[in-house]
Amino acid sequence: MPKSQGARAHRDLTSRCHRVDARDPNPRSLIATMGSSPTAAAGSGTALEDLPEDALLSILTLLAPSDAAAATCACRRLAAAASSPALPLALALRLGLPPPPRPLLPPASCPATARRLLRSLHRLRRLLGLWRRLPSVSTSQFPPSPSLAAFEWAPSATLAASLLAPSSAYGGGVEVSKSPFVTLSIAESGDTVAAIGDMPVCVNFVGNNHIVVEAAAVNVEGEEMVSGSPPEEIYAHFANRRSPGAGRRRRGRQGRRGGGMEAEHFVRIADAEPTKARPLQGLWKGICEDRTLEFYLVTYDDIGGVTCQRFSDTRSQNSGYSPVFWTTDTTFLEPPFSEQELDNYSSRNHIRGVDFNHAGIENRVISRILCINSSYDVVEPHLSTPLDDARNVEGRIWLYEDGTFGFGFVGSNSIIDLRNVSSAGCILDTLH
Amino acid sequence: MAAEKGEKGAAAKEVAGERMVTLESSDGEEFHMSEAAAQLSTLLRHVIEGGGIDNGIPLPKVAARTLEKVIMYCEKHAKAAAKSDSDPSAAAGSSSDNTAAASEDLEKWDRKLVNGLSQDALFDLIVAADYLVIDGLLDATCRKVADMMKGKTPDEIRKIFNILNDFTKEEEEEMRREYAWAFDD
Repeated sequence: MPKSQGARAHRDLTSRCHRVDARDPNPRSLIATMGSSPTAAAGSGTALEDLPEDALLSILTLLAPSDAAAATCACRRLAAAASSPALPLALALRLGLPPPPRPLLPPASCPATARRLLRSLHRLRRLLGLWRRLPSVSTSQFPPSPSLAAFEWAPSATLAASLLAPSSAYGGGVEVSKSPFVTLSIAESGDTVAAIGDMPVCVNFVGNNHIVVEAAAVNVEGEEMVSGSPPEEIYAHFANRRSPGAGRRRRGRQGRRGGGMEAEHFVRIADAEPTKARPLQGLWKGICEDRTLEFYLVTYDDIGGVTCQRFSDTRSQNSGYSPVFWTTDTTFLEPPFSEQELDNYSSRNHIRGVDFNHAGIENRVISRILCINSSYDVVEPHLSTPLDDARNVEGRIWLYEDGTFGFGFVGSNSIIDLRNVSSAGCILDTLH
Repeated sequence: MAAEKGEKGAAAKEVAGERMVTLESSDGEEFHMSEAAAQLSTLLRHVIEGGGIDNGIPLPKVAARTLEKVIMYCEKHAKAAAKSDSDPSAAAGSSSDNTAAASEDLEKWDRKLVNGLSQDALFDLIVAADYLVIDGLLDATCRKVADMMKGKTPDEIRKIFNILNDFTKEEEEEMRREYAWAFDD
């Protein structure tokens, strides 16, 4: 979660200073008037309940819903802070909703609405990030629909999900096309509403890392659906009914599910970006040997190893990944590098797309090097000893100074350079 | 140590080419802090811009031991910001390992600062950060309190923070019902 303005952003300091003449040469009068909030005097054993409301709001926005609920139930002061109409906005700002102009959150007209608002905000926050569609059992489409979805904050306090795909088969760049998918917003009631275009849908969690997107139940009286879907119309339409996008599935007397949409399952791509401790981790993109842009997922396991899998959009029964490289030892080679290593790198060609503009520097500054293997050891469970895997070819990862990296293998004179798909939660290099 | 005690009645003065401001704690002790560090406090920034700080800035709500920590935080963050501004790779907007590492190091420093505080001192620092309007310090101190609450029941929270349960039994039941959703999600 980004360090943000927290609870403070809604408070305008100038309004607190309005009683003081800004030209007043005596700073003591400004300092004195700031003492209007009910805080304990410094150094006299301040209690939690005596902390200023801004601080209590800040603390509550840092807590997961269950922890915030426990804190709220501890004493009246915390309960009062939790019921503050300022809390939903403070939470929205901490969660990274677009900055002012103020996000269009519905007003928290009563504590129950405020609680639903908080619940919705927490639910939307859990959806943020990258998700992979699970293969469907039904007949596959051709061409297959993209299986990578990105949920990001959008204007008007909405969460917009887009499907990501390489922008074109033979383009030269690393652009990613983005097509609209689900839009989620918060109704006047504080509940979440979701739609794909005109079609209301439900987005329900199954655990924390699995969601199901399916058409919402249609009112049997045949109530008209909204045509066109700006968030405000969604607010207006759903404000007075139980939201189809919130919480548990609501089947039964509500009747049939509309739109003929098959339920789609997505699993979270956790750890989609690298960290200082895990510089290779994340979802990456790069031009591969056949000059097309591909996505690669690199993960660290619990025993100190790293694996890279190519993220595919096939509708096969496989997981949607095909292995690319792995290593059990993530100890990097540090500079100064041997001449052999430097020659190994500089003698290779960086794979580019067909139309790539060759301007620019080919070889980049390497900060560290890692030894990798190009395939998995294959182990048959019913055999007592593992089979030899003749495809086990050694390779290298060259980690560049800017945090990206390239990889290549013995016997090949190419390097596949990878870039981040997202940075700080934002999808990079997108084409709409 | 950034918080130097200076001469009595010292005006905003220059030390090694850097403008300093004098602050006076609630218990009468004087501290100096660089103007760059003082700018992290929205309150102090307004006061400095308003002028007339020749006799120092009194802070009747901040005791000496707390002000010392405030100044440590502000000087550290002001220096880090100055270093980042002068780093050419940061200026170019590239996401280098160095920039991310510096940010992680600063966060680690903040955590070390708040972890070394007693509960009393932590709360006093929260009050001071709120009073002086130092968003980053308020965030760091509130995070510590939030971390202490994570995974705890209401009773455990009361015990840790020495809070009196001022709900009636019926009110407690009602609260649990109203927030039952928080445990379902």
